[in-house]
Amino acid sequence: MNKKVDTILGIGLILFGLIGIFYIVPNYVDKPQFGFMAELPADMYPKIIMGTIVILGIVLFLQSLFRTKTEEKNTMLPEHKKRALIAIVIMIVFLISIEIIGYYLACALFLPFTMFYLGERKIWILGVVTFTFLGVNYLFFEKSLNIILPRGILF
Amino acid sequence: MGADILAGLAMIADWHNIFFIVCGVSIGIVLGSIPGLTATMGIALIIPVTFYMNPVASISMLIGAYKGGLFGGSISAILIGAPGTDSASATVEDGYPLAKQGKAGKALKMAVFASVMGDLIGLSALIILSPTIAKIALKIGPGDFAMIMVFSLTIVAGVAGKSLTKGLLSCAFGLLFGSIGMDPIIGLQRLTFEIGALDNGISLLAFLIGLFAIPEIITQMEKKLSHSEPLLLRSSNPADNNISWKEFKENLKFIFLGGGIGIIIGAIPGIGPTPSAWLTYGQAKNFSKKPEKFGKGALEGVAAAESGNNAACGGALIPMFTLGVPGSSTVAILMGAFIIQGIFPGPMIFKENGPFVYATFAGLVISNIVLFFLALTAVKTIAPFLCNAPRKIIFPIILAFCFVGSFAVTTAVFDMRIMLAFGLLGYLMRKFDFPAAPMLIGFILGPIGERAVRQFMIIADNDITKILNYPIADLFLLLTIVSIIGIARTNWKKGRSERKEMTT
Repeated sequence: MNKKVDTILGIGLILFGLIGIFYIVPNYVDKPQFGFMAELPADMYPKIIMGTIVILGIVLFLQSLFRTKTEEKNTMLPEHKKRALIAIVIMIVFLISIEIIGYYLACALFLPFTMFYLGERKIWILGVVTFTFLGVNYLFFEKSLNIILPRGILF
Repeated sequence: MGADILAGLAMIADWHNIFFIVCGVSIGIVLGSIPGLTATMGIALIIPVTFYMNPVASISMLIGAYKGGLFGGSISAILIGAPGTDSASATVEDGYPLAKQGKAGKALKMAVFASVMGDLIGLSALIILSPTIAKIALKIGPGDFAMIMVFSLTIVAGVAGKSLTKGLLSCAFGLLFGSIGMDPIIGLQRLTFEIGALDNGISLLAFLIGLFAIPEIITQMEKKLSHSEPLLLRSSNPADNNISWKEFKENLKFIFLGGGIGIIIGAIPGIGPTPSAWLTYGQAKNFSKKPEKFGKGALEGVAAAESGNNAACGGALIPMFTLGVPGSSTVAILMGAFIIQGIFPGPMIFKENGPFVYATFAGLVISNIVLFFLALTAVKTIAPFLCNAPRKIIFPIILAFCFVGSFAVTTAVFDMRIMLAFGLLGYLMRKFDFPAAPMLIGFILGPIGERAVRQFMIIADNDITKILNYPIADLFLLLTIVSIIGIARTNWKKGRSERKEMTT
């Protein structure tokens, strides 16, 4: 891993742990309304974990400082980065569309589009796979298991 | 007792019962192999059907589904790197790398053998040692339980990958995510950020699918896919798709290790098969002659993980039969099915329903034999079909299944968001060399461990030194210290040899 990245990650983790101890845990963990459990507060455990993150962040930071440059390597090509970004965008759009237009309609758009993007050019394959997948989902989840898949806010 | 055993065998020896066991195992394998659908869900879905059956047929079918579901999870764990059930999460570590090397057949067959043998070991313990193990399990208090959890966390070192610091950080974040939701002792909300859907914490399956399946899909989609590249390349060498007698013998000790750990962990109520699988995996790495191969496609890793989770299945039934205490959530549903049939598990069950208990034991053994043949058939049919499926078609389908799988457990769209969020986090972790497995271990063990530690602190008036009064806790404290010294020694040696290599 890149030495510089580990240094930044170490600093980031130390900051995250400190913010966790002094801001997130005090503000987002409920306080008991009664006194008899005061010796076992609910925030004790998350605070210990945040403290551990700070300590491990310091260790990571120090390790990155003492590491020689020979251990470094470049892991990702620019074209890989681009394709990974596209994959992530596809997933996010799929999730949003499930919530808006429902699972079936979102799948009917997502499956052929993604297969086409990945290189499938035969229209009949796109159609048959999408139709079969939706049919199996409907029969399996809705008819056999009685699980109603998301319909979306529009329907 | 002899008369009860004979009466029990007569009860199960009906072709209807065998048929229902076959149906249960088949349904279990199918449901278990789909990420998001668990053995617990399989049993819950079958229960309404079993209302109309006689008690033996009903319990036989449910037990079949339980076993089938536990094994089914390993099919997707090995073939697509996404465990079908949480108990198969440790199987991914070596099963998926083996599949990527073209040895999917080998990994799956080892999973079948280890599952069946691990299960047989668990069943033997259930049948022979039930009363003794139950007595020991009953003596395990929160103090002992807390130390067992602390000891279990030492597994992280075994799955930390290149950097122990990053492995520990990943585990710490797993503990943090596991602490979201209701506080286990006083029920206060923690780190929910006023999001109602987080009141009961993060869904384990959404977390699991996100962390393991999504990063793999993104990584695969990074590469430019050739026209009809299959999902997995299968080696043309028959030896890569079969288990030789030598390999089987070499892995036998890991299968027995998993069997032993599974019985003990399974018999302790509230832990379940997933920690058992991870604990066995970690210990197998310690005992292995080639620990460096773990995580890169070690057959021992698959054998240990599968044996560990399946043996815990038999182990978890021990407290149910002898004390009326379910050892895991799945067994709790199974216990409900017993009660529906008018049979109340507990100390009196052997006296009041002796023949039924022995019929159930025989049903467990038969379902194990059925599982062996059905699992091998599934390996021969499903595996080649999935391996040869073109990536450009199979990835979008797997992705859609990930979404629907994370939704199906709680029927909450929010869990799809959680799944995707952890998927993206898992992808970034992979890019920055943070291993995912320690995060999952922390997420699973954290809540169980916290509850035990805090219960102990209440009992001990916040005096932690009182832990020394518990002999089982002392034993695990000693094992934890030995384990930490071992880890430190291994890391020191590793660092020294790396420095030497660099200077020469």
